[in-house]
Amino acid sequence: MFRPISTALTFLAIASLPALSAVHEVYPDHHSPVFSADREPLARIRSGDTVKTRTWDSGGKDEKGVWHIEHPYKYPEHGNPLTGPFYIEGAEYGDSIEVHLGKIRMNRKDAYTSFSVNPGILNPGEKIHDTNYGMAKVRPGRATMIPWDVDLEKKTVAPRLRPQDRSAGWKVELPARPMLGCIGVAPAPAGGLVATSGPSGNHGGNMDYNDTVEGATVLLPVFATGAYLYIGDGHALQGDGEGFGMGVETSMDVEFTVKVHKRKRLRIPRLINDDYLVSIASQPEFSSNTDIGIRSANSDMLHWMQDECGLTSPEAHMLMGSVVEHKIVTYYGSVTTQMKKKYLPTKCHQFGGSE
Amino acid sequence: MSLDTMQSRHANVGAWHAVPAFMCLVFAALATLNATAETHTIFPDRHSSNLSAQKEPILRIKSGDSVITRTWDSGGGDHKGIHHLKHPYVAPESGNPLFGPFYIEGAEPGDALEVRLDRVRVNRGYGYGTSGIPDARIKPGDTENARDPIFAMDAVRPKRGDLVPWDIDLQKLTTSPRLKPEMRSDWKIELPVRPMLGTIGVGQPGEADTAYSPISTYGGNMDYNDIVEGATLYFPVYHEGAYFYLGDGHAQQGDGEGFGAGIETSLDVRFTVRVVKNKNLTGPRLVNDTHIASIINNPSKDSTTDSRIREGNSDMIRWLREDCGLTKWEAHMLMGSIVEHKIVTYWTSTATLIPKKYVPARCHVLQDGN
Repeated sequence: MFRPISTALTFLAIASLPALSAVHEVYPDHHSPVFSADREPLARIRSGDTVKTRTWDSGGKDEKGVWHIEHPYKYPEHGNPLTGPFYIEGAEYGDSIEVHLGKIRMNRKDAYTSFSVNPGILNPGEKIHDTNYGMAKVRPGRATMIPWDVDLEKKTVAPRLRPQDRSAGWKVELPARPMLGCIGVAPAPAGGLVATSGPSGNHGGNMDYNDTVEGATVLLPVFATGAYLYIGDGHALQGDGEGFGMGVETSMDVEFTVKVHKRKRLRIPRLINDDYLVSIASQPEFSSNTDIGIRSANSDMLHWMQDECGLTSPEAHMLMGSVVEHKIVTYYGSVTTQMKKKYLPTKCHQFGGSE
Repeated sequence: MSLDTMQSRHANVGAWHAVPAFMCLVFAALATLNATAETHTIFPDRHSSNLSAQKEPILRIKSGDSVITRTWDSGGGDHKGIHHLKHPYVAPESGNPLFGPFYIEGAEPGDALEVRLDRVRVNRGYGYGTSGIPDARIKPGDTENARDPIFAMDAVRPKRGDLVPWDIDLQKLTTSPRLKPEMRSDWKIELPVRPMLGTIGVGQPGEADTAYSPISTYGGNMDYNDIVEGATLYFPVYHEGAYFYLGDGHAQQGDGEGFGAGIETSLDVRFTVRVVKNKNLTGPRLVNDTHIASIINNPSKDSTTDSRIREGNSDMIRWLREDCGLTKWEAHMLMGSIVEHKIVTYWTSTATLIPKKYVPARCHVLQDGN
C-alpha cells in the first residue's frame, strides 16, 4: 500500500544556518489513511520551520480535480486522505507541539456535502427527504452527495440544489470559512492498534472543529519521537457538530509553522485564536458522550488558567462559572471549553508564555 | 396580599425612582402608536416558587401591553437589600422567588406568548455566586481542581458557607468576586455585566403544581445567558391566560451555569407581551439581534446534552421550513453548514441556533399560525 516518497516532494529555501527557520514546500503524490509513527516522513522539520502544502478533499480529489483514490473505495481504503507525516526534530514524548495555521485557502471551484444532516442528530423517527440526490453527481457509486459551488472571488459557497428543491426568492449562499477537519499526531501506541483518519482522540485526529481555520494555533501532545504530524480533510464551511457527517468538503492550500514546547505535557488538544483559549475534549464523533467531554474540557481549562495564566484555584473557578463558553465540535463526539482571552492575563495568551 | 399595582402611566414613572427621563418619551410614543396598549408598573410584595396556572394572577394584561417591575435575587433579596424570604429556607420555601402569574387576555392553549425584554438592568451594588464549579462538572477524580465547598460562613446569607459575594459597579457595569486576599493572584477579575433572567416561562401544562424551580417546554429555570435585554422569547401557551412568570436575575453567567448559580442579583425589568395565535410550539424559542434559537429543556435523568440537541435540531428544521418558508433540502443545507449550539445549563438545557442573516426576514418574528 505504501509508496516511496515521491519525486514531487521538494524542499526549498532550506536555511544555510541551522539556527534559522526554514520553509519547506511539500506536494506529495501519495497520502496516509492513518495517524501513525510507522510511516516514512514526507519531510523532517525543526521547531520554527514552516511548511507549504496542499490537502486533497475527503474523497482524494486534488485542486485540479484529479482523483488519487479509486471509487467506490476498495478495502482497506477509506476517506480523509492525510498529508503527512511531518517529522518534527526534537519533539519527544511528554512535549507538546504547536501548529500555527498561517494559511488555509480554498483552491478550486467545487465542493460537496451529504444530501442531508445525519438523521441521528434529529428526533428519532424524523422523516428525511428523498435520499437519492442523483447518482454520481459527486463521486462514482454515490447518490447521496450534493455538489456545492465555491466562488473563489467572493469566498462564498452555495449548494447546487435542483430547481424543485429550492424555495422561491431565496438562495442559500454562505461565506466560506475554510478549515482543516483532520490535524493530529501519531497517538500513543495502544496494543498495535492504529488510528485511522476516522475518529478523533487525544492525539487530535479527525476533530472536525470549525475553528481550525487560518490564524488559529493548534496545540497537540507528543507521543512518538518526532511527533509525526498529519493534516487533511479541508472544509470550506462547516456547522457546529458537523451535522452532515462532513463539512463542505474541498481541497485546500495550507501553510503552517510548528514549534516544539519541551516538557509542556498536554492532556488533551488545545487551540488558541485571536479571541479565545480553547480546551478540546477530542472524542470519536457520533459515538461519544458530550456531557463527559465537557467535564474533561472543564478540568483542562482549570489547569490551563492556573498553570499558564498564574491564577489561583478560586479565581479559575470564578471565571469558569461566570464567563466560560462551550462549543459542540462534533455531535456525540468532541466539545470545547473556552475562555475569552480578554478576561485572562496576557502571559497565557500564547502557549508557553515568553519562553 | 396588597399589590403595588398601578395602571396609570404617569404614576408609574414617578413611582420608579430609577426611570430616566427618556422612558417617559417611550411611553408617550407607545401610547401614540397603539392607543390600547398599556404600560403597567407592578412591584409585588409576594412571590411564587413555581410556574403554576393554579395561582391567582397578580395582574391581567393584554397583548401589546408592557410591564415594568423589579425581580428579587434567587434568595429573595430586593434592590435595597431587604430579604423577603427567611434564611435558612423553611420548607416548602426554596430559592428563585418568581413574580407572577401575569394573565394575558386572549392567550389560549395552542397559541404562543411572545415576550420582548425591553429592559433587564442591574440595580444594586452586589450579587453572589457559589464557591466554584462542583465536582460533577469537572473530570471524574480531578481532585486537584475540586473547589473548596466553603468560602466563608454567613458571607452572603445566614447558615450558608458556599456563597461568594460579588461587587457590581453600577457606573462601569462590571462585576468582581470579593475573594479573600489569600485566594488572589496579581490578576483582578473584573467582568462586564450581562444581566439576564434565569427563570422565565408560562404556566406548566395540566393541573401540575411542581414545587421548585422546574424547567420544561414551558420555560422555567432555564438559566440561559442569552435571555438579556433586547431578546425576544416565545413560549407555548398551555392555559387560557398563559400565566407568565419571571425572576432569578443574574448579572453575569457562564455557559452551562457551572456555579449552579449565576452572579445572582435583583434586576430592573421591563417586558412587552404579544399573543401569537395558533402557533403550536413544542418548546421555547428565542430571537435576538443576531440569531434565532430553539431551546430544549429537559431535567429528566434520561436526558443528555446529546439527546436534547436532537430535539433542538428538529425544532429548528421545523422553524426553517414552516416560518422561514425554506424547503427541507435548504433547511438541511443550513443545518449542516452554519448551525451553532449553546450549552445552556449543564445536564438540562441546550440550544440550536442559526444566524439570522442566513434566513429570510419573515421568520425573524413569529407570525400567527393557521
